[in-house]
Amino acid sequence: MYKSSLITIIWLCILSFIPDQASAQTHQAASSSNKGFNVPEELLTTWELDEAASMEYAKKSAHWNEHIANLMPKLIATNKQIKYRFNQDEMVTIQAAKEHELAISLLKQTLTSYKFKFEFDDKPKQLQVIKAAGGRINIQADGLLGYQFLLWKKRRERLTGV
Amino acid sequence: MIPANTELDRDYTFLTIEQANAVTANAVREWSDVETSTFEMSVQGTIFEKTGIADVTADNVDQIYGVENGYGFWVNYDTDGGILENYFGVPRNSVLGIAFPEWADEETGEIIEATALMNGWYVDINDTDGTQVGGVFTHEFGHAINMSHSQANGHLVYMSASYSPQYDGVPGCAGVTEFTSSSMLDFSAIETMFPFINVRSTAGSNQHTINVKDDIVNISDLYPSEEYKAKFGSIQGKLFTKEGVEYSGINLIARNLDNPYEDVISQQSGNMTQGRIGPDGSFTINGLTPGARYALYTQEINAGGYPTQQTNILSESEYWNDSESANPGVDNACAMTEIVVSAGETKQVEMFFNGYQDGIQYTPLISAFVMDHAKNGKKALGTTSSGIPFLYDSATKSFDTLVSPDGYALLSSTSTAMNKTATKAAITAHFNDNGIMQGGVWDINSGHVSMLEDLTGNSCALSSQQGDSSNSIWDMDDAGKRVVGTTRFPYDGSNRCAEGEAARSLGIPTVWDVKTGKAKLLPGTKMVDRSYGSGKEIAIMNGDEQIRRTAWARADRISGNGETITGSTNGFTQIAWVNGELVDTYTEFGAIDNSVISENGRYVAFGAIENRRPAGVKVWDTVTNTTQKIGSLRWCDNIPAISFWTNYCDLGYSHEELVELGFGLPSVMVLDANEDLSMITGRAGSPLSGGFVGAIYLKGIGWMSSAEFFAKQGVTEAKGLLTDNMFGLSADGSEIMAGIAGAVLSIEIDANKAFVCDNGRDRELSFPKQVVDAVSAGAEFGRCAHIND
Repeated sequence: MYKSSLITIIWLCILSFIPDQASAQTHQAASSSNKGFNVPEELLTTWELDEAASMEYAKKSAHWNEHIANLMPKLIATNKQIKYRFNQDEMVTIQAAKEHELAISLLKQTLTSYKFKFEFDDKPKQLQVIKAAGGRINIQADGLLGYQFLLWKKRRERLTGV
Repeated sequence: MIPANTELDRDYTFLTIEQANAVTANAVREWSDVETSTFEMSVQGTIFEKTGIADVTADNVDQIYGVENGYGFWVNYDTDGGILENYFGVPRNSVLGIAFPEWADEETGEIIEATALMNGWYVDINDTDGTQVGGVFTHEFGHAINMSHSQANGHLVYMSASYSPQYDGVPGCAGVTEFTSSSMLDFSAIETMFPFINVRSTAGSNQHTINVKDDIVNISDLYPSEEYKAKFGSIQGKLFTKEGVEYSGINLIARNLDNPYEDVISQQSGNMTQGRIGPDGSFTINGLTPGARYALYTQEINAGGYPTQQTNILSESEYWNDSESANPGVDNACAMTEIVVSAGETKQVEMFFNGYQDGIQYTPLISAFVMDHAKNGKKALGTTSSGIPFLYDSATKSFDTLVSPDGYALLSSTSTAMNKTATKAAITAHFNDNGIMQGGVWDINSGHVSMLEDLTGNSCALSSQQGDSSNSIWDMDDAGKRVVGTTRFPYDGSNRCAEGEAARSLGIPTVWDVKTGKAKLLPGTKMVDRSYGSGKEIAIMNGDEQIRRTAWARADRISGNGETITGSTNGFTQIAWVNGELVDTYTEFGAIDNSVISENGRYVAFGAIENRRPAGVKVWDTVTNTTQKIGSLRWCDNIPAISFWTNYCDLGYSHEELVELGFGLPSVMVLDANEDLSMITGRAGSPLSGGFVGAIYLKGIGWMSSAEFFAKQGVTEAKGLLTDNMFGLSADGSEIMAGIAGAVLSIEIDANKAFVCDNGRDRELSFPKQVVDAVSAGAEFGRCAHIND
């Protein structure tokens, strides 16, 4: 009986370890290249949508028209689910119990506004916070839907007048 | 939970010899207890009893491997992974076990001796009785008795994630479940011979048992009992390409519609010949339950080693049905005919990859990274995945590897560009031994490489994946007379970087005259001190007046006639040079991302923003200095509207609403165009906003996503490997080179002919001109059978 060695035709029999994937989730990291310019004190809290004030604010917008008027209830319903929290060097988007951090750094400030820079999709972007009546703010950035029509108030604070 | 690849401070003896022996005995019993198989195995003793070796280590394991030790199957417990690392050279943190038949009878093929090595280092700290690692034992023992890997259910557990959904049938078809999490399937359904296992969870213990039909059939095919074939049914068939050539390496799965996870059997096409006798698409699936309803479908094998090379689905996964054909108009991928066989019956089938042989032809060039496609549409220049330069000839479908007789390291840059006739290429190369490349022009026919002038003496350099280079080289005109890119200048304003200071430099947009090699700096940019911090940046100048500042600037595109040049600043905003003068197209027209230029240099197309909102694509007439908006893709119809972690399409917003509320039009980065810009390709989206979407503009028709374009043309080959990156158009737009972001893969698209549906009848016309004319006259774009795809 002839015998032949099969050792040269080794089965491809390697098993690999699969790490636990339970914690895997999409994380949209953003970075800032200019550390050291922190978020101003007055923004360091959580901000939620002020529905009534937003409606009044939108009506005063240059973009206000019949289409926008029809869309406002939908826009408000969407943004009611979102909150923003400013920390020392980041803006955190809070949505359905998930938090997404966006590193920001202050570029410029005036009496009525703050301008921050950040990167998103590897592109330089700007975020502007404009102070509005009653301690509210308007947050403007590319990709924030309907930003020009919305006002945000400090969470759980009662505010007056727009 | 112990993280993967973490060194453990322990003595690696969580399992005693007695425990390991018990796990071995269980694995032996699992394979021996399969009713339809004659295979029987029992534990006969220890290695010490048979060989006298008390402790097998890397130093003496050669007395086991490569040596006849007598009949049987030798199981070696590599307690600390030392044999794996020191004998096999395999890191112990990457492999759980190795097994193979070692000796066989040449006449009968009978396996005489087999062996398995079990990696004890990977036994989990909590797996104190070896329950979880038991799956590794049973799996490796399967290899030892000649079984290969298998993919029936395992991918639904181990490879499913929200970003990588897996399916228990043909994706997108009715009744098919999309698995996005390992928890969606009971682990008991994982076949033992799946290539992966998690020994840190109960998945491992579930792979210890032989309960899934796939494993039962595997061993029964090798060691069949007398009644095996008589008690069950079979499917026998062949898998063909659309041209009718047999095709191996694809998984064929028969899944019981009423017991889908336990009664499922997979076989690879061509697995009996393993590619050794040419194309072989044959497959046989045994063990079908008599009277049960099975769906048979094709599926790509995701990963793992197989004796038969796994291959890509050529067009789309599909079910077998009574109308099986290569014609996608007749054979719907989701149309499934149930297969029901009786005991002992064999159902004969043929399966064809769907795809038309007329119209647009879509051919992946695997492992080829094309960098430029000549405007004559006949040649493409690129490198293989191993870095070898090639010239692809689309007429002969052949690759010529290219070696410079001068010995220069060619094609080091990913921005290599050819002239229209593919006789010259602008490159970067090492012309001396200082380790810094500079610009050059390669005469492809003669192989000669001529140097382009470097105004700073090849002393400054930018480091990139391709190496250090004093020039960046981006484009060449049609005649091969002019090249554009950058020259790096030192921060100190001199004409040479000091030794060791090559990186303290910044690129200035440059154009070269190929005939003389002379470089000329393009006007309108100036190196200035940064606004903050140290170093330099670029000021965009209008005469002595600064328009804006940017981190860097380059010239990266030149018109066919060499008259108009465009460039990028900071990778986002655009600039141009017309008649030798700089135009800040970002400031004037909102130009962003990239530009394409008509052959005559008159028209430039770019993505644009207005009032900070994306405004789609604009075409700039450089003579009248006016722009025309040509639109973009549509939110939600073509591209998801995901921003700041919210998917607005899922919330019910329409394209019009999103535009109105401030999104603007989807931003399209233009990639290439034909000579008169009547056809423009681009890309929208990003990895953070739901992925990239390829885009095509046809003047007279408008924008379509690449998915819509190819679907309407019935190009099923594009379904599995859909391009989002059509970067190389021929002068008339009929020949396209494309890719997929992130993949080392190029796709040749022959679009000389395409279809319109005219009053319910298919008409094959020249593309793009005749097709566009026909659509303008009222025909619909695409084949009639696919108009609504």
